[in-house]
Amino acid sequence: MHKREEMNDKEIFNRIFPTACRYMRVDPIKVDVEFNDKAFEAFGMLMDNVRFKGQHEFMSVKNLMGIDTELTSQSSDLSFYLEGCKDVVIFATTLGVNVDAFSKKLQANDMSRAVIYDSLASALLEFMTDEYEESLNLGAHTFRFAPGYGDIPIQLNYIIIDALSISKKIGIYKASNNMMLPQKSMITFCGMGKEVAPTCAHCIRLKNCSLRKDNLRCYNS
Amino acid sequence: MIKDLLGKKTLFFDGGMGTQLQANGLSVGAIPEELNIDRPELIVMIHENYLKAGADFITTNTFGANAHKMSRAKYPNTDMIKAAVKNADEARKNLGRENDSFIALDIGPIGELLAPIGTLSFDDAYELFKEQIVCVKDDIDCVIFETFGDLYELKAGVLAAKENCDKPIFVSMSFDKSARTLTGTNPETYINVMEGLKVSAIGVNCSLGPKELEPVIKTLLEKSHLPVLIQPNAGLPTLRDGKTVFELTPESFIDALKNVMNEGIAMIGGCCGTTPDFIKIEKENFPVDVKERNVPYRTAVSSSTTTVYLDESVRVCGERLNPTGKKKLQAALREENYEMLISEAIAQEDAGARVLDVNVGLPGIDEAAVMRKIIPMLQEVVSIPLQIDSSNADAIEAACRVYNGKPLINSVNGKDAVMEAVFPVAVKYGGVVIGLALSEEVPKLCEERVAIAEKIIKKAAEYGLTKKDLVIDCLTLTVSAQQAEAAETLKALKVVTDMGLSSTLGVSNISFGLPNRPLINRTFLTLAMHSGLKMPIINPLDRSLMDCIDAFNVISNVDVGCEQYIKNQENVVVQTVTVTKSVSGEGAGNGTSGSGGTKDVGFCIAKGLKDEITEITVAELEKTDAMVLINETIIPALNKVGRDYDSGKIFLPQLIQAAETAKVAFAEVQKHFTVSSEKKGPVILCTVEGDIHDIGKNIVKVVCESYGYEIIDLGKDVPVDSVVDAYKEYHPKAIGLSALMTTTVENMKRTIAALRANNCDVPILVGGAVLTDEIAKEINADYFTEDAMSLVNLLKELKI
Repeated sequence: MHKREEMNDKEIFNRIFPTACRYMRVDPIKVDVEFNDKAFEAFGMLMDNVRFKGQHEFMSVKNLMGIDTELTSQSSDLSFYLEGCKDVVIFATTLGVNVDAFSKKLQANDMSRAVIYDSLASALLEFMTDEYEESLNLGAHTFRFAPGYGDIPIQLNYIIIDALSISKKIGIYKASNNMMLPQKSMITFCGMGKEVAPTCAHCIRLKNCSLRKDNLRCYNS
Repeated sequence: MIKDLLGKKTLFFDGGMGTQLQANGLSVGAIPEELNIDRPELIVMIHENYLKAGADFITTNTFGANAHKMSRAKYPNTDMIKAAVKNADEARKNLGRENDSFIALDIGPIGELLAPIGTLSFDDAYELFKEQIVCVKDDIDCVIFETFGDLYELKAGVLAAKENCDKPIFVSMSFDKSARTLTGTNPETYINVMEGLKVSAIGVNCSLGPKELEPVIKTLLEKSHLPVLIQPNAGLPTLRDGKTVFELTPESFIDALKNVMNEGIAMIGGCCGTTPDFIKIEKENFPVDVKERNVPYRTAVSSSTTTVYLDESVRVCGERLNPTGKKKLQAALREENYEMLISEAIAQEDAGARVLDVNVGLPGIDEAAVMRKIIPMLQEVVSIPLQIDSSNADAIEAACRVYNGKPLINSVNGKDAVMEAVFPVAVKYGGVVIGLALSEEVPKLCEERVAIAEKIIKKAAEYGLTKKDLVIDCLTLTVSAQQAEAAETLKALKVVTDMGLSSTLGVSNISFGLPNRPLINRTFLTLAMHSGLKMPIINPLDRSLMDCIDAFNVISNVDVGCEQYIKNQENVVVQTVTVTKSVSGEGAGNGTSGSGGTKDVGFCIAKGLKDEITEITVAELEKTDAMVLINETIIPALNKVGRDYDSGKIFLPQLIQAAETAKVAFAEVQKHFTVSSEKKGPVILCTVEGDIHDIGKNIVKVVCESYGYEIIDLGKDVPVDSVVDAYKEYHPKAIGLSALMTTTVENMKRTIAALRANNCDVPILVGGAVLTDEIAKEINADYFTEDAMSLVNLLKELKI
């Protein structure tokens, strides 16, 4: 059973609010009651629209690398992250299309709330994916990484979507230019069998990351 | 022939193809359709096994064979489809079953979401489906669309099949445990829309096992008039010894179907995890004859997620999306500025409308083209069905084609030419039609109106439309000119209701030309509802009219327990209104006090008090010149907000709230300007080609507009050429490009290069999460701005 199911809405909100604030470049310590209430109201709207779905598949590293050798051979980071692992687990998670649809509606009439809603949605996706990962009791595994990290080709998303029938199973679709829809979706990997903590080393923003300038990390929200 | 058997004898589909292929060596990531050419003997064997098990239908190995999904395949998709059909035909011939088995061309989803949620256009989806069908249409017995999660995509497929092939069309969607598809369609809506499109059978497959699908199966059996096809998975997937397997055996599968087996299922097969053994056990257990089901017919319209029944209690249709008498809306339509329509639509839905009227008819406007644009835009933001309101049959057809759901069509009248133009559109796309009781002359008496209604019913029947496909408008005439006819309208309402018809009225017509119109409107509305009116077309933001409906629902025992009434009315403060007679005819006065308070315009902007700013601005304009208010209050207030944001005293959401409040104030102040008042700019904004993130760009737009800039918003995923064309058309003072992804920065570079090649000499500003000063220089932009305020400050610096 997911731990998330034991938490009430307020607890989930409190857990994700600091991350959402980071996305909005807001210091969560400095927000006033009015902003907090507005954010919680936006969170209520978000939860009314969320239909979280997750899918995971185990695969050998060999099969993953063989899924499209032209793409996977381009990336040294993929090999780096999976070094020493025999198997990999692929996660696909999404908050569902209703979240996108409601965001569009909010943007038409209440842009301020739309910004808060959007940031909360991004934070909620991370949180729910964390919970989903934890519920699988994977044992030792690397941190979660995705196509687009470092030099891992983002085109791999499309290959994975087709190979694992993700559109059919949980409703993540290909959009133009290697993007996915619904927008609050992600496809990630964990290498199995060893613990590897996240690192900035291979991130494209290493040299100009605003969080690093303030001695913060995106993975320690 | 299929139609001789369908719905009479239980027919059997085959089981999972993917499962069989994986068991025979298909690896992850491999393209199953290639096997039609690479290993035809395997495909033939699988088909034979299902036929031997008792299947009547074999589905071709073409589930993903659309050109987009097959872009990486070794062979053209049409070659693989032809080979698949050939293999199916060979299998049945090998067993001597060519005369008593059927080849179903299997079409699965394209794998991309349709616009406006996604990026694939409806027309492109149609063409992809059409291509799959046309290459084999003479060699198949039917088409089956399977495992669809999106109703709009399914509609594109059904139209492609209907318009290019004369074979029966079966549809099957997938539902999750909440009994909704991936894009939120419920079974009732699915049924209503697909029956309107006149498919031959309707069903459910995949995602879940028979037990989990039972609620959906039962709804299909209870509510659909079509033969029902079900193909569950072999239960839910589970991990065993490191492999994913399906939990049910053939015995437990058939056991899980026992509650529905004898309830009228017309066709049964299986999906993921099922094998020939599953089909065999179905054949042994399902009844030979299909049980007849008596399903009542309803008058219902649908969006993609919501079905509204127009034959039970009162349902409001919002009237405000109609340019008649609305100068601002007319201007917005002419300028192709659809934001106003979007806002009005949302406001009406939030106020309780269950259907929305959409009318874009204006002289000089290409109504069909506007409908094609505006219908998807509206459906992106509201979930309720739309009423397509036009006197132009081409515009009605254009709207119905792109409409996602089953629309309400407003309208036909008693003239043959009008009915002959509109009824075929309703039949083609599955719409409910409003019949207006009006012919060459305006009818006065009840009997005259009823006679026109009967004529409409009779004509509709020639097209296969029944009473349940019609809603009658008994015609509201204005009492100030035709007083006696109001009673005739009410009489006619009663008669058509007794005839079993649903009814509608444009309520506010009744009071035209009279003072205190709200009083006449709500009285007439109450009387009309008592006479049987089901769908009043009104302004749902008019609380007095909505309150009438609340009260009526209580008195007529529809709102049982007065729940809705209490919810809507418990916070209403009842005030005693004193009516005074006045020689000058000023009429009733209001005993309440004014709003008062010490808040001024600047305070409201600083605090983002969007709901209060209008009243306060109006009050200030009574004592302050408009230009003085702008220059000495609004702009300084905005500038202070901007400084507070830059210094970190406030944050982005508060900045946006302040900007939106200022925008409302500006709109109010502008009413006091003469025509010569000028906006700054214009500035073009867009998200570049390939990028569909637009929230950042939209934020910039709101903030710039609050500072008086005219913004031409080209939207998102804007092709390079379109940006160049816009530059040439609008002669902007600056161009702002946004991109969120590193991959689309390349498109930003191409856009800038194209603009430069076309002699663009205005500043090009870029922004977005992945951009920096350095990248901006690399791609030859003039400036990089980090956020909305920086952009506004830069525009001011550049004296734009």
